[in-house]
Amino acid sequence: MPATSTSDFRLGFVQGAREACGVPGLLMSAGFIGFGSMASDAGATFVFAALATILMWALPGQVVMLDMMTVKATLFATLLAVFFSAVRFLPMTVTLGPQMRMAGNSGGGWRAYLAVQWVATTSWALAMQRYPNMPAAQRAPWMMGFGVVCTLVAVVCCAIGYFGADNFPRAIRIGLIFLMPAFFVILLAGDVRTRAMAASLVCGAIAGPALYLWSREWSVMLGGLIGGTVAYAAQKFWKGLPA
Amino acid sequence: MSDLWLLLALCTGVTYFWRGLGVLLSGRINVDSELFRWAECVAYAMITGIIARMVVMPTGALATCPLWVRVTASAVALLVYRLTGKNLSVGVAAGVITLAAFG
Repeated sequence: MPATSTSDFRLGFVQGAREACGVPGLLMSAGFIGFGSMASDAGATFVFAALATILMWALPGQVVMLDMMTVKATLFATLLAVFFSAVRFLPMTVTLGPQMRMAGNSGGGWRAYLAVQWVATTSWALAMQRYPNMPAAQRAPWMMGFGVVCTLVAVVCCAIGYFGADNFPRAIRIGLIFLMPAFFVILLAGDVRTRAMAASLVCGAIAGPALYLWSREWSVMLGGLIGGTVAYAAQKFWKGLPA
Repeated sequence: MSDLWLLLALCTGVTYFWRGLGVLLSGRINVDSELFRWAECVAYAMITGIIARMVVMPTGALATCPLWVRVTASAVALLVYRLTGKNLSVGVAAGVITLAAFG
């Protein structure tokens, strides 16, 4: 491995790790405190909850799994639900993959495959913002550094939730839950750079909640597909108009 | 007991499947291609949809706050972010405090 590649790896990893110590770290706390409490309620062991966090690294999927365990669903039904809950990762890794692999890539492909283990809503949105200003060789390591630190923080938070977070006062509890939407409102609507992004925001904000009224299971997937496709078509049409 | 670990292993597998598939497919997609633009639109719309739903129609503890508080807190987060020269932490904190105070 050439020396530059090693230092790019370290630079990217450290930068990602450092970034995980900011607001995203807090976000993880909020989400996984809730997951920890839910796991203890469902009668799962702490080790199971912690391993699910480390291995799956997908809060919605973990919640689906626990939920299905509580209702004693069959293995097949549970797998199918978790499978569908993870479809959202596909467009995320399809968009991040080429940016990670731009790094010249004599055999560097494995890094992208490892790095995407930590692609989740938060890290995806942050990476989309950061990657354009980052050397390509540092992108996969950035995701690994970010993911490893977030996972460690999440396991600690899961423990806090598991071993008794029921005693927080209400204002703190709802504040923690609201961390996630507040963060995303800013990340998504804070600096809208392109027309396609603006159209996607508007269409997604309408399609997601509207479809939720129709089907809770399918709203996330269909909201993205329908909202995103309409947005794509709209910005295409818009671009085609004479200025 | 062993059933639980099998369940976890399989859930881990089906979750990673989509992540790995994205990388596999992305090798064949040009970053500047129309398909890539479309995928980006879908991903943005998907996340925006989830967040919009969390603000407008939350479940659990957030549902006990009035709608206007959730919407106002979101607006405050965005506004403070812009006014502080795009400081993410301060913006998020302002939104959270607004919600906790009035919710």
